[in-house]
Amino acid sequence: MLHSSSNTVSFQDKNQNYWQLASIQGAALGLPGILIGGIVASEIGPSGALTSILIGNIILWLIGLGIIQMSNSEVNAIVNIGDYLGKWSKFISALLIGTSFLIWFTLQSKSFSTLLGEVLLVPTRQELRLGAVMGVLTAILSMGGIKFIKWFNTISLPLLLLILTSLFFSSHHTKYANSYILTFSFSSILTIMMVTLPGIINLPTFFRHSRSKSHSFLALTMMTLFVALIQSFSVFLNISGPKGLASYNTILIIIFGIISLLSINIVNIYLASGVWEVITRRPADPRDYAAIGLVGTGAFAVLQALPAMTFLENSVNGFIACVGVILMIAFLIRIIVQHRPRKLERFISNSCWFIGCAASLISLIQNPEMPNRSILIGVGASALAFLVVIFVEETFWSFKNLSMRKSKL
Amino acid sequence: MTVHPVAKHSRDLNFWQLACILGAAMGLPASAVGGALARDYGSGTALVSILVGNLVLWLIGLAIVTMSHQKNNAIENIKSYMGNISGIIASAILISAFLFWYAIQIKGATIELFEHTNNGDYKIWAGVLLGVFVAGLGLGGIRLISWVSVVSFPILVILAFYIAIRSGATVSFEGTWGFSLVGMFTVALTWLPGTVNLPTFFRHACSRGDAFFALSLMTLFHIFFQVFAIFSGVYESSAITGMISNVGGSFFIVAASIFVILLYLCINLVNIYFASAIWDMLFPFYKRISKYAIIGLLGTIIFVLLQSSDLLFQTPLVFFENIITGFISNLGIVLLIDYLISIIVRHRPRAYEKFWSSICWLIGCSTIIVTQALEPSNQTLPIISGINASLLAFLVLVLVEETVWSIRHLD
Repeated sequence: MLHSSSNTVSFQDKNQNYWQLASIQGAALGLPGILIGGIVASEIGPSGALTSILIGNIILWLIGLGIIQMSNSEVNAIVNIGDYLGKWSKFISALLIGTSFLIWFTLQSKSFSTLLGEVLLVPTRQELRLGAVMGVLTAILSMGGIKFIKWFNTISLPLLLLILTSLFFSSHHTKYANSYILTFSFSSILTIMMVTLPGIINLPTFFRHSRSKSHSFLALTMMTLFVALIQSFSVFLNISGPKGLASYNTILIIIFGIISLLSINIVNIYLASGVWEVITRRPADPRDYAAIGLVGTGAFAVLQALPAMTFLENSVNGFIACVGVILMIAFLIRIIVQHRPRKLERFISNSCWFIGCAASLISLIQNPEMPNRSILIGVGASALAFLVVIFVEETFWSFKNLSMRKSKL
Repeated sequence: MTVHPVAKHSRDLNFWQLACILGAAMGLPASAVGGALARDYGSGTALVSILVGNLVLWLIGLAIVTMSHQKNNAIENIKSYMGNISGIIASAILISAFLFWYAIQIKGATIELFEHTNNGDYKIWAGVLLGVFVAGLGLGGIRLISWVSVVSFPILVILAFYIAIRSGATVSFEGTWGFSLVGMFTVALTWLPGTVNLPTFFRHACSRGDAFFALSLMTLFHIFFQVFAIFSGVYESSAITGMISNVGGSFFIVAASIFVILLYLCINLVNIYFASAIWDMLFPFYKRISKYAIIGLLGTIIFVLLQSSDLLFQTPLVFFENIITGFISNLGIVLLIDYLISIIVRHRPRAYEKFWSSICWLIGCSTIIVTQALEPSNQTLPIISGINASLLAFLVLVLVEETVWSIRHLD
């Protein structure tokens, strides 16, 4: 029995089709997520970036498939984590996702205000005000709940693609300084993956609205294609930051910035409402969404100037990546290990998560300029801890069953 | 799928017998990997890489033993997951590999025992003698292999301690206790081809508990031999012969020689038995016990041919060995992924499952050949590239399959 009825909070709109689900996730990339292709291209060249985008997103698709398969269709992402890791981990992950919401909301607002600053050539103080205004607007719009998100992002996605296409045809096609032949690196794939991995782990919060399993699966594939396509545009346009975008048509860029910001931040607010549901054990209502959005706007005003912001973001990303890997392995073990009971299953999963988080944090403290490495170390440490546990468990079980000659071979 | 379960009376090997057979069958070249890692990365990193690499191998072994239902030999297991054509291709690759490894082990033993004599003819004749001797022992089948291994293993452990103490090797832990991905792969690749073939021996296990416990013990034994190589300074095939020259003393010479001979006996008896599973598939009409001797003699002939033309270890053959090892390692990963998919994907039928698995293997093998041709001096990179290519092919395949299934089932 995976789920108790007390874990399930009632929610609206359980009839979304694949296109709506894919549009919600596909449009919710935000500027940093869109520009990541260009950032990777500036490091390893355009062909390497495109290959990394392709491989990174296919791996994310696989993780997403596992996360959708393992979750009950009625629960959000945090309850799903609780089902596998227990009550305490559910609250810790709620805390993590809540913190990460504040960070992501802040980062998205900051990148938007920087873009507007570059386009409109306004001073930093004005940038801050513009960001705050957009934060309040997002909070108001989010009061429409999941139905508004569905409506807004279904329209936003084709608009974003249209704008990117028009930018592509009006671009100067700047040549890359380093144009390598087909190549990719572990690090660049990880960079691509880390942009949307936290969103993938949170997929159950949105995919519980799916009409059926087949709609969820198709939505996941389409979402992967949309994300890969949008990220590829930044490679073709050779833009790796707001400055690059500022050289294009001003009105188009402002519309692009507003749409991408609203699409991602209303989704961020809805993700954070999962934390609210876990704490209050009731579905979030419009006032709750607005309150969450205003908290996010307040965080933008306070946190965006914080020097430790990047460190905090990288730490939280590492912890969330570790919980993603733990969930996947725990899911696989549940399927594969059928021949013996697994005592202390949740305790072991939690310990492995803790080991991964500790390893990731230590690595990040030692090398704060290498966040991807710290995530890789954290994920590796969690996986290794699981491997050791399974080795001990299987050896112990087989030792206890040595005399079972009657077992049919 | 035709399954030929091993006769019930042959399913009586306990955990200790299985662990001794496969644990003692490490062979000197594979053990020397531990020493080579210590030389390249430092002892701390080598130890961590050995532990992690062997744990990964254990996990793959666990899946392979589980998926074979403990009734099939390795080839029947491959056929049941990848089809008849892949089974035949795998048989051809595996029999080439086993005969080649048989010759390499003879070569390794003769180097260790007679290198200091500097007499080439002497070494060839000694190698022939060793090859024929093991071929003769092979006539005893699984019973004799079990008996030889169970007797040899404790002697090998005692001698390993003695050699490590007398070797005078200094082990430096000045480096970090870090972890090397390449080091881990190097360790894993020493036994990955053996792991693919585990069902050939584990079908004789008297129970599932015995099979799993034997697998864990085998892993610990392999770790022991690789750690021994670090502590005794064995980091290449001719290390022990060097020790014999340096340490001297008749007792040490006798002990080291027995150590080398026993290691050689254990690995090549296992090589013969591995190859016999392929023989059974290729020549189902000839099941006489003399097949073991024929396999051993073929291996000895290959040793002589290669030795006399002085081709062994030259570039084309090193290339061939790397390619073959890569193919078999890749096969192990494809089998593992195929097994995982068959467990996880239950909501839809998988059409052409065997065909697609074979294609993924083919993609991996092609990548290995291309990478090896581009990087002939690199032994690890082609295999890693091949495994990655197979994994990526599987990933794309599952993506397409799931998407097609979901489109067909939209309501």
